[in-house]
This record gives sequence, C-alpha cells and structure tokens, in this order.
Amino acid sequence: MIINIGDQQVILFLATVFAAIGLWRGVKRELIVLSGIAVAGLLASTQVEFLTTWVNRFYKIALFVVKGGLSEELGSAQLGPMTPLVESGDDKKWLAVITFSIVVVFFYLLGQGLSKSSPSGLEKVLGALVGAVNGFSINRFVLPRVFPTERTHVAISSGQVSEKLTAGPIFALILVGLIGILIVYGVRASSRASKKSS
Amino acid sequence: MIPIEVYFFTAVFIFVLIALVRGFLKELGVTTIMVVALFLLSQFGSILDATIQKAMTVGVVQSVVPESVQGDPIRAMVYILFIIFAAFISYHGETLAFTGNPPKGGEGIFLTAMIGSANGYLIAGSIWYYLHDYGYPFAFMNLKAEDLSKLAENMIPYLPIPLLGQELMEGVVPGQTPLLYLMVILVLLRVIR
Repeated sequence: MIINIGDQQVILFLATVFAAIGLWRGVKRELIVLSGIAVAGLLASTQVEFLTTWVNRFYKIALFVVKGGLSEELGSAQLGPMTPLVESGDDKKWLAVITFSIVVVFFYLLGQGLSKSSPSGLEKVLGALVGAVNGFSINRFVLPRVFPTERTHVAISSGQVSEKLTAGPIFALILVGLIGILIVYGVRASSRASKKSS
Repeated sequence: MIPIEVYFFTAVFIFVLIALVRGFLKELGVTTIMVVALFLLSQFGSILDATIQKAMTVGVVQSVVPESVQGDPIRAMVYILFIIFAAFISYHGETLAFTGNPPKGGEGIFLTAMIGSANGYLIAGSIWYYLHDYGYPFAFMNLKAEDLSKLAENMIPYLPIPLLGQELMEGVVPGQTPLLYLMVILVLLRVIR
C-alpha cells in the first residue's frame, strides 16, 4: 500500500512530535540538544571520510581479534584480503546518518543528566518551541539521506522536503523563532538573576 | 589566499569572545541595533542605491575610483561603512543594553555565546554579502567571486540580508520580512523591561 505523504505534513508531523518531547523536557535540555545537533551535523557532513577510515580500521582490528589475534599458541592470525565495512557512497551515507543519530542521542541523554530540575510553565512552552526546531533540524539532515528517491511504501517527496528546508522563508522564520526563543529565555533568566541579587 | 569563509568564522568567533566578556544583556542591545540597521538596509537599500547612482552620474564619486578596479567599490564601501557605523554605535556605551543582571553559570555562558554568534553572523555576514554583491572590489583582500569555494558559494543564500531580508508575503503585505519580526520581538522586550 502506498501512502502519499506531502512534504509539509512530514515537516509538521516531526516538528509536532519533537515539540511534545520538548514540552516534557523543558527548554534547558532542548537547548543542549540543539547544540548537539549542530555538532552532529557538522561531524556527519564534513568528516565522513575521516570517520570511514577509522570505522574500517576498527572493523579490521575486530576481525583480527575474532580470528585469534596475537596468541602464544597460534601466533598472529592471518586476515588475508578483506572488503572494508564502509566502502560505497551508500555505506558512507548510512555512516553519516548513524553518526548523526548517536551524537544527537548522546546530547539528549546529556541534557537529561545535566538539568535535573523539573521545568516551569514558561520553560515548558519554550522547550516545545526549541523542540520543534530540533525536530526540523533532525528532519533536515536525516530525511534527504534516508529517502533519496520515492521508492519506499511511504512515498515522501524528499526533493520538495529538501527544497522547503533550504534558504527559503520557512528556514528564515525558524531561525528568527530560534533567536526569539533564546532572547526571551535569556531575558527571563536575567530577570531571575536580578530578583536574586536584590 | 585565505578563503572568505575562514574570515567569516574567525569574525564570528571573535564576536563570541567579545560577548562572553560583555555579558548577555549588553549583547542584546547590539542585536537590537543591528537588526534595525539591517532592516533599514533591506527595505530602503534601493533609495540609497539611487542616491549613489545620482552622485555617480553627476561625477562627484566616479572620478575617485580607478577604472582597473573590479566590482563596485563605492556602493560596497557605503553599505559596509553603514554596517560598521551601526556596529560601532551598538557596541559603544550602553544605549540600548537591557537592564538587570545577566544569567550566570553554564546557562549564562551558553546564552551569551549564542547571542554573540548571532551578532557576529549579523555583522560579518552582512559585510560579506555586500562584498559579494558588489564583486569583491577591494584588492587588498585578494578575493574574487570565481575563486570562492563550494562551501562559501553554498553559504551566500544563508547570509543575513538574503535570508532574513526576504519578503514573506510578496505582493500581499509589503515589508513582511523575518528581520521585521525579529525587530518587533526585540523592541517589545526592550519596552516591556
């Protein structure tokens, strides 16, 4: 069965899911995730070749260990010619997606660990907004890589999604929204500091 | 030749360091002035352009520029000087700085670094945009549009003027740009506090 999902519905759905997570977690944790998404995006889009080299090296080491490694009885294990784990463009694309996901999940957990206090009402609302931005950013990185063409049962027009997420009005409004959230949150945190000091 | 994106990221990094020294609330004053300045440029740039054109046709300005110079140095200089002037005004004194104590601790450092990078993006990004728009006319910078890296070319649509100065409801409500919304948020917050 083919379900046709429009580009705006995909963006809206994912942004809503992440906004709900943000509402529950609060703005502090979501801001940590936001910085994590920036790091993950940079790492997964510019350092794929570097990551490929190291993943293949560790894969070779693991194979060497599985085949006996360096033991007194057997001597050195012989690996012989082997195919690298990550070789083709498709492999590298998935490596980028996996690296991105691991770093983002790490920052989600880091946010949970660093900010123990339960969020207040405004923090929850701001968290929902930053959460929506996080959903959008994750969507922007993952969707065009996971759905490069309309070939799956869920037919998502990834080309249009990518277009929507480039330097168009939606991206500009999201950037403005994010700066607005940071400003409101910062001003609110400043007011708190002001009250404490008086 | 140093790629222009290296200049840009270095400038943003310096703005982050300056922000960390000055504090969140003072930086917010800078953001307010810069957003207003960029909004004015994006809305009334055509009037400024026409004025420069008029001055050039009269022959007041053109005689100063040698013919060998690439691009349009006069327009580039006018726009860049305007941005530098706005940045100077916003960093000098505490004219529009928000009142209160800035947030402290890790949270404060994070927020200040973010607002500092936003200011760096607004200032350095706008200067880059006008350099690009007028053909990198300053020889001492040793920059040419055709020598830009792929990364730099991809970054140009994301610079402040083309990204935040674009019309959102073209032909429906004129002047509706993301910069306008940002300006309204900042001015409202300033008034409320």
